[in-house]
Formats: sequence, C-alpha cells, structure tokens
Amino acid sequence: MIKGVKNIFKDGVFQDNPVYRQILGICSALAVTNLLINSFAMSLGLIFVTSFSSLTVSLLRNYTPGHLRMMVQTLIISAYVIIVDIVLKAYFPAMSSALGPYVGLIITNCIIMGRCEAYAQKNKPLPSFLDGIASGIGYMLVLMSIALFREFLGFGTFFGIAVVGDWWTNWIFMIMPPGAFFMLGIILWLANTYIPAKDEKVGGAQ
Amino acid sequence: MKKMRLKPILFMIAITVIFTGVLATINEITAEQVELNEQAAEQRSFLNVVDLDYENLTAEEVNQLYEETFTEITAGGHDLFEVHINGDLLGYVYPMVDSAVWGELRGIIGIHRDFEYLLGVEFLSHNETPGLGGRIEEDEFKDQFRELDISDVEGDNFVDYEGEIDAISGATGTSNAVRNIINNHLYEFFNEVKEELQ
Repeated sequence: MIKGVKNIFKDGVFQDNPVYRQILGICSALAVTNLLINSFAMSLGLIFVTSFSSLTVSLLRNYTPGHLRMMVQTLIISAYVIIVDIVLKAYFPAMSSALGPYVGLIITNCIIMGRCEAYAQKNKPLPSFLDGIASGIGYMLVLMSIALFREFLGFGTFFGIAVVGDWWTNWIFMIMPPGAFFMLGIILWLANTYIPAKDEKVGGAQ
Repeated sequence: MKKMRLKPILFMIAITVIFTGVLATINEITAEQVELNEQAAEQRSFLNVVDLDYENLTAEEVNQLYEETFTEITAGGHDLFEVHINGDLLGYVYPMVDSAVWGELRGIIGIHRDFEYLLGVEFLSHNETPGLGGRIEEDEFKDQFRELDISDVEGDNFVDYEGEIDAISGATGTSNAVRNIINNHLYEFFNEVKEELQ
C-alpha cells in the first residue's frame, strides 16, 4: 500500500508529470504564470478539483454506463469548479478578483479529465483521490517554476516582494504570453533531458 | 426498431439533479456573504476616490461612512453622487461605464465642487489582462488622477498621456480605452450635468 502511494506520487509529480510529460494543462500554464501568487492559487484550485473529481468518478465508476462516462465526468468536474469559484467569492474576495476568469477556466484543464479517464475510471476511490493530488502537485511544480522566473524577470519581485533595486529593468516580454512559451519550452527541454520517463532507467544505455 | 434504453437517461437525470442540488445549496448559503463582499468592495472604491481612509474600518463602519458621505442624485438625466464631508459639499462622483479592450469597464470619477480638478478615479470592475491592462487598478496608475487640474481643458481632452499622466507600458490598448472612457464621461458631465447642479 505504502509502495503504491509512493509510486502514484512519483508518477504524478515527476515521471509522468501532466505538464512536461503529458503536455496537458498548457493553456493555464501559459496564462496565469506571470505572478507566483496567481499560479499558487490556481494550482491549489486544480489540486482540489482534480482530487475530488477523481474520487467522485471512481465512486460512480461501477454505476456509470460506459458510453456516458465523459458526460458524467464533465458534470462532476464543472460542479467542483463552481464550488471553488463560489467559495473564493464568498470567503476570499481579494483572491477571487485577482484570479478573475481563470477560476472558471479550471474546467477546461485537460489534466482533470485526463486523470478521470485514464486513472479514476479504472481504480478504487482512495488511489484515485491520491492520484488527483499527485497530478495537481506535478502541475503546481511546473507552474511555480515558470512563474518564479517570469515574475522575477518581469517585475523584479517574488510573491510581490521586491528583491532587486531601482537599477533593475523589467522584462515586459516575460509578463506577456510569449515569455511563457519560452519558459515552458526550456522546462520541457530540461525535464525531458534530466528526468527519466517511466519506462527508461536512469542513465539507461542506448 | 432500436430498443429505447431508459436506464442511461434516468441515470443522467438523477446525477444532474443531485449535483445541481448541491451547487444550489452552496450558492444559497454563501449568497449573502458574496453580496456583502461585493457591496463592501464597491463602497471602499467610493471612499478611495474621495481619498477617505478606510484602512482600519470594519465592513459595517465602511458602510456607515459611505452612507454619511454619498448621496445619490439625478441631474441632466444622469445619476451621480454628491460627496459631503462633515456636512460640507466636497464634490461629485460620476459613474462611468463603457467597453474597454476585453469587455465592460465600470468605474467612478470624483470631481471637485469647483470643477477645477479631479478628486480621483476608481475602477469597480473590468476584464483587462492581469499584469498588463489589469494594472489600471494599481494605486500607481490611479493616484496620477488625484487633483489632476482640468480647469483649462478644451473640448474633451481632459486626460492625455503626454503630460502629467503616464500610460501603462505594454498595455496601450487598455490605456487608450481608459483615456477615452474618462474623457467621454467628463465631457458628458460638463455638458449635460454640470448646469443642473446647484
């Protein structure tokens, strides 16, 4: 059991990372990563939605007619996203207005449906729930590393705290979407060079 | 003829009803809080536009101060607010609404009672890109409008980005839209509303 849990997290976070390995969730990885705080809130939202959607899909998997499963998944996912949106609006209004339309856009994040379809539909509720958390953390890892560089280069700050003096010239380019493309490209390159995929051994001889 | 299968339909109806029910319940529970938040945010913007300090006030005190300060009136066919501080008329708050780059922008302009300078500008809601056009809501941008002299303006050229006010770099579209919205509404204020005010 412990080993199983460890494997779920190893896969979700590193070896089978949803962003740099499965190339899912790219749209939001490009959209919200110019500030660390936005990336952080977005990632928390995604972890919540992915884990609970996977849990619910898994609970219903034996009752759901096969050809309806995607409709059911979409319904479940959108319900959780709306919950996140409402809770933010009611209890964290500042965060809600900072994230604006992006909260609703969690619905379109392919990672969630990807995990429901690839994992939760075939596995028991608890592993599915953990798999959702693991994938969410993998997503968070990538978003935060992109945002770290974009916010630093684009604003000269970390989490809104200025870390460089007046001499610093902001790279406007990094705040805009093209900056995200470059950062994402670099991360994909590094990850695919240094982090072994599931089937390969570390430093495997070719 | 293909057999009509009822089970999938019933399943889908049942699950939709359950989830919608849960969401409706959550929505019902939080509706009041959400409305309070929105109202408080709007009232803080109003207090900020006339440069009143609300930093250490609770939501109720904000509400009370708001009620004391702002009175809704109608002049020249437009709704606006009179601003009274300790019983004295300080000026007027004129609402503005128009489309900016990505959608509707709502805001308010504070105008001093002598009509010679602005008290300030606030944006209540907008859909501009966070980190770019969205920076119109940062104090650095808004504070430029405080006590902006408009006494010798010709036509509707109240705000331009050639003198005292800097546009937001990287957000030319939003900056221009904001300039036009402010200029149009001030022009409207001076031509249709001002005469009707006492």
